[in-house]
Amino acid sequence: MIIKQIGILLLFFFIACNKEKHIRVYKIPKANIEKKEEISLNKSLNKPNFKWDKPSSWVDVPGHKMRIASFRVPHQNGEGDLSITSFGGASGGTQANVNRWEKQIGLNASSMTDINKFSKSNIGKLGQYKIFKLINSNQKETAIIASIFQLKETTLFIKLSISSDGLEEMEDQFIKFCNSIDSSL
Amino acid sequence: MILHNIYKIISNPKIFVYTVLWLMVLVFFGTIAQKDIGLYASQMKYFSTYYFILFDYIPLPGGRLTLIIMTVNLASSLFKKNLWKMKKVGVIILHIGGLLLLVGGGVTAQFSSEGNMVINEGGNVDFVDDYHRMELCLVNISLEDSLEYIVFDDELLSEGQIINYERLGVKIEIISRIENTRIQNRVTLGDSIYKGFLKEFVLLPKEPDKENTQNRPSIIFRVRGSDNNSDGIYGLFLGQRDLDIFDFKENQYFTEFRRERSYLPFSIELLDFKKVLHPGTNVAKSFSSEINLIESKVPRRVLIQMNEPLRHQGYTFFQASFIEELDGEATVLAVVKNYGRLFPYISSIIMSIGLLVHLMVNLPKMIKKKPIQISE
Amino acid sequence: MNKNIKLIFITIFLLPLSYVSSFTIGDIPIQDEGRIKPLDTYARNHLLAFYGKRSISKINLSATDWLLNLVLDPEAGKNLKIFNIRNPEVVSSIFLDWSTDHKYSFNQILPGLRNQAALLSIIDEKPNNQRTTFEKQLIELSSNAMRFEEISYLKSLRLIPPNIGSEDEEWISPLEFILNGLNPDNYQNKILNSLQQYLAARMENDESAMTSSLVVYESALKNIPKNLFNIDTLKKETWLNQVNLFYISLGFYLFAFLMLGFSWMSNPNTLRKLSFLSLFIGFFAHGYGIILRMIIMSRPPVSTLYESVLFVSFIVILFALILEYFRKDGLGIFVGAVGGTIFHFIGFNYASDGDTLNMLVAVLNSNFWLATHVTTITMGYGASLVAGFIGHLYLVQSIREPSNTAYLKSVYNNMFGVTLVALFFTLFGTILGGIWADQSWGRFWGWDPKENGALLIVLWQLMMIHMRLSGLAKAQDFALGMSLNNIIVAMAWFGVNLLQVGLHSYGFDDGVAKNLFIFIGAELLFSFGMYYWSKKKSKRSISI
Repeated sequence: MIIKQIGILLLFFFIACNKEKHIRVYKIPKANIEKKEEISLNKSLNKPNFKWDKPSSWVDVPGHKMRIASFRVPHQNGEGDLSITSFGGASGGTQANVNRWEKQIGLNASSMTDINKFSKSNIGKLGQYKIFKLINSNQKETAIIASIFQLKETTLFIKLSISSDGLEEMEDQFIKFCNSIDSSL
Repeated sequence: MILHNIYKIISNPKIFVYTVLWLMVLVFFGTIAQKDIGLYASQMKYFSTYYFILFDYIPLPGGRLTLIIMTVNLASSLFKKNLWKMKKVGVIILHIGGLLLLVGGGVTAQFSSEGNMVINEGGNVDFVDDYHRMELCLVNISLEDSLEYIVFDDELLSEGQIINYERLGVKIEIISRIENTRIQNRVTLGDSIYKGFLKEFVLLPKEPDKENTQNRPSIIFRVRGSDNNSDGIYGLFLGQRDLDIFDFKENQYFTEFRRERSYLPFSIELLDFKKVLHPGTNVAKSFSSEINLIESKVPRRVLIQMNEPLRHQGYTFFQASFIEELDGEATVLAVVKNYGRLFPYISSIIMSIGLLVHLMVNLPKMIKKKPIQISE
Repeated sequence: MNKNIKLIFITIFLLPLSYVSSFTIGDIPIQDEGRIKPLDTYARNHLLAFYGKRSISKINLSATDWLLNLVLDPEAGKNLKIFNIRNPEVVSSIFLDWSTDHKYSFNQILPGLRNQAALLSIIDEKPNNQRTTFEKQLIELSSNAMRFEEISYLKSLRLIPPNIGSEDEEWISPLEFILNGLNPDNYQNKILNSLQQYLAARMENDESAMTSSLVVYESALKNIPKNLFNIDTLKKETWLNQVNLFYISLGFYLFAFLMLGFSWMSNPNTLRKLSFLSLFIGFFAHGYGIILRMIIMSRPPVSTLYESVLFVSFIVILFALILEYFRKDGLGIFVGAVGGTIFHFIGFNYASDGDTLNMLVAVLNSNFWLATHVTTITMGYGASLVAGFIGHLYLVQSIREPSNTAYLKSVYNNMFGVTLVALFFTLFGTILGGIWADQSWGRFWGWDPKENGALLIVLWQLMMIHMRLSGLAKAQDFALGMSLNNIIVAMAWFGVNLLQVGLHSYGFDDGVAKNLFIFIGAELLFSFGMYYWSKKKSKRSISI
C-alpha cells in the first residue's frame, strides 16, 4: 500500500518536474547583444536609430508606420511634407528611386548618366550622401528635393515634397538638416 | 525458471535474423523516401523513432526500437555457455566489438547535439544554434543592463500544448506550429484578438523543402494572464526582424521564435576567412577560418580548415561553409557535441582484434580445408 | 610460375615507369579546369567535346595536331567539319541543312548561332535543370563554338606559368601578354620565345627547328619551381592518353575468354594455361593504368565514380586470378574474363564525356580516412560481386550436374570463403566511412543514401552468413542469396546517385537508371529461375 502511494507521488513529481525541465531562464548583458538584434529591437520599440538637428519651425507628425520620422515643413506660401525612411540593403538602387520620384511629379525618367550629372554630393555627420533636386516647370505645386544615404546595412531616404518656390526657400535648411543626421547607437 | 525462459527468448538467434531483415526494409524504404521528403524528415520518421504509422493506421517498429532489440539480443547471446570455447574466442571478441558499436550509436542518438555558428569577419560569437530544434523566447527588456531570457524548449511547442509559466502568471497556448511558412498580407485588418504582426499579416503553411535548413518554421500562440490588453494571439516566424513587444506585469517583453541556442563557456572571434578556388574555376579548393578562441578574456589563435577541426571542451568545430555578403564574409562553423564519439573507434579496434584472433586460432584448420582441386 | 618468369614480369612492369621519353609538343603544360595537364590531354578533351572522338581518324589527325593546325591556320581550321551535331532540331535552328555524317564546320554554324543570340541569352538565364534537351544542346554548341574561337587565337590556352610560382595562381595565355601589355619575366620570356619558334618552324614543316625549339622549351620549363608541375608526370599522362591501357586490358580479357572457350573443346591444358596468361597480362595493363592515374593526380586510386569502376574490376580480376591459381579448372578465368569485360564497358561509358582526371571539391581533399574508406569499400564491392558471380555458377552447375557433389562442394566453399572476405571489407569499409565523416564534419552516421546502401550490403551478407551457420539456409539458398547480393551492390554503387539526395548526388542520368533497371530485372529473373529449377532437380535426384 505504502509502496503504491510512494510510487504515485514519485510519478507526480516526475511529471511535474518534467514540464519545468524544458523551461530555461538566463540573463544576457546588454553589451553583448549583436548590432543586428539591437537595431530590430529599437525599431520594434519605435526608438529611432538616428538623431538630427531640425529647425524648430518643422512640426513632428507621428503615426506613419513605415517612416522613421515625418515633419510638416512650413514656408512662405504653404507647407511641405518631409519623410525619413529606411529600407534594408540597396533598396532598388538610386536610379529606380529617382525615377519613381520623377514619375510622381510628372517628369520623364532620367538615365543613370543624367542622374549622375544633376545630382550633388555632400558630406554630413553620417557620411557621404547624394542630393537630387527635381522640379517640373509645368507642375510648380509639387517639387521634390531628396537625399539618399547608402549605409552599411540600410539605405536612408530623406524626401521633402514641397512647391517649387518653397523648395528654393528651404533648400539650405534641408541640406543643413541632412548634414546633422547622425546614428544614435 | 521464468527468468531462464525469458532469456531463451531474447537471446534467440532467429530474432537477430528478423531484426536484420526488418532493419533492411526500413533502410530501403527510408532511403527511397528521402527523394521526396529529404534526409532530415526521413530520419525523423523512420530511423530516430521507436515506431511510425504507415498509411495512417498501421503502427510499425522504427529504427530506434529495432536497434535496441538487436542490441539486447546480441548482448544476451554472449551469455550462452557453449559459446565460451577456445576456438570461438575470436568470434566473441568480434561480437563484443559489434555490441559496442550499437551501444555507441545509442549514446550518440540520445546525447549528442549538432548546430552551427555564423561569425562575421571581426565578429565575436559565443553561442551555437541547433540545425533543427526550435525554441520560443520571452525576453524581458525592462532590466537595467541585461536582457532576461525565458526560453521554452521545442518539447513544449507542439500544437495544443499549454505552457503554464507560474512565475509570471502567464499561460501560453500553442495554436499552430507550421513547418514551412508563407507570409501573406491581410486584406482587412485582423480582429482585435490578433496582436502585433498578426494584425496585418497571416502565416500560412507551404510545401516543406527537402532540405530542412531551408524551411522557415513559424508558430502561432495565444497569451493569457496579462492584466492589461496584451492578451491575444501572436505569430512568430524564424528570422522575423520586427519583434512584437508587449507589456506584462510592469515589464516589457518581446517574443522570439528561433533555433535552439546553446551558450558556450567561451567565444570565437573571426579574424580572417580565406577561400581558395581551383585556379581558373569556380570550384572551391579549400576554405579556412583564422579565429581567436577567447576563454576568460584570454585569446588563443587557432586555424580551422577543412579536415582540421577545433576540439575544445567536448565541442568540435568544423569549417562547414561561408556566406558572402556585400560588406564582407562570414564563416559558418558546424559544431558537434557528441559523448559517444569514441565508441566507433574502440569498436573497430576490438572487432579487428577479434578477427585476427579468430584467424590465428582457426588458420591451421582452414589451410587443411583447402578447396578440392579438380585435376584435368 | 617459377621465379625467373616472375622476375621478368616485374622488370617489364617497372621499366616504363622509369623510361624517359623525348619531350614532344603534346607534353607542354597547360592549366585548365584547375589542373596542370599536358597539351595532349587538353586537345583530346576539346576535340572530344566538339567532335565526339579524341582524334580525327578519317584524315589521320591526332588531337594535338588538330589544335596546332587551328592555331597556325585558323581559316582552314574554321572550315574543317568538326562540330558533331546529332539533333536535327539543333541543326535546323541554326539554319543548316541536315548532313548524314552529322559534322559541321565552325564557319557553317557561326552565322546561325549569331542569329540566335536572343534565344541563347534566354536559355542562359534558366537554371540547368529547367532546360529542355534541345536548349541544353544548343547552349552547349554555342559555348563550344566560343571556346573553339578562343583556341584559334590562343586566348584560352593558359600556357605560361605565373611569375609568383604558387599553385593557386592562374596561368597566362600568350594572347594576354599581347593584349594587356604584360612584361614577361625571364622564364616566361624563354617559354614564349620557344613556343613562337616552334610554331614558326611548324608552319614551314622544318622538323629540326621544331625539335630544337622543343629542347629549349623543356629547359625553360625545368627552371620553373618544381611544385607547379613535373615534366615526367606530363610525359606519363601523354603516354597514357596514347596507349589507352584499358583498351589493351580489355583485349586480353576477351582473348582469355576466347581461349577458355576453345579449351573446353580441345587441348584443355595448354589453352587454359594460355587463357590464364592472357588474363594475367590484361590484369597488369589494367593495374598499370590505375597506378599511372594515381601518380599523375597524386591521389589514392578511387576518387571518382569512374575510378571506382576501374578499381572494383581490378579487384574482381585479382580474386579471379587467385581463384584460378588454386582451382586450376577455368572457373576463375571465367569470372575474371566476363567480369573484366563487363566493367570495362561500363567504365568506357563514364569516360566518354571528358577529362576523367579532374579536380575534386574541397570536402573530398585527400585525407587518410577517406582514402582507406573508399579503397576498402570498393574492395568489398569487388569481392561481393565475385561471390555473387560464383553463386550464379553454383546454381547453374547444380542444374547441369546435380550429382557431382564433390565439385559443387568445392565451388560452395570458395563462394563462402569469398563472402567472408567480402563481409570483412564491406563492414570495415563502412565503418571507415563513418570515421571519415566523424573526422570531417563530426557525424559518424547520417542515414545518407550512400551510407544506407553500404549498410544494406553489410546487413545482407551478415544475415546470409548467420543463416548458413545456424542451418537456416542450405547451400542452394546461400547461392541464391549471394546472387541477389549483386543487386544490392549495384543499387548501393550506382542507384543511390539517382536519388539526388545528400552529399553523394551526381544528378539523374536516364541511361544509368535504365541500365540499372534492366540489370536488376535480369538478375532477379536469372537467380530465382535458376534457383527454383535447381530445387526441382535436387528433389528429383533425391526421390530417385
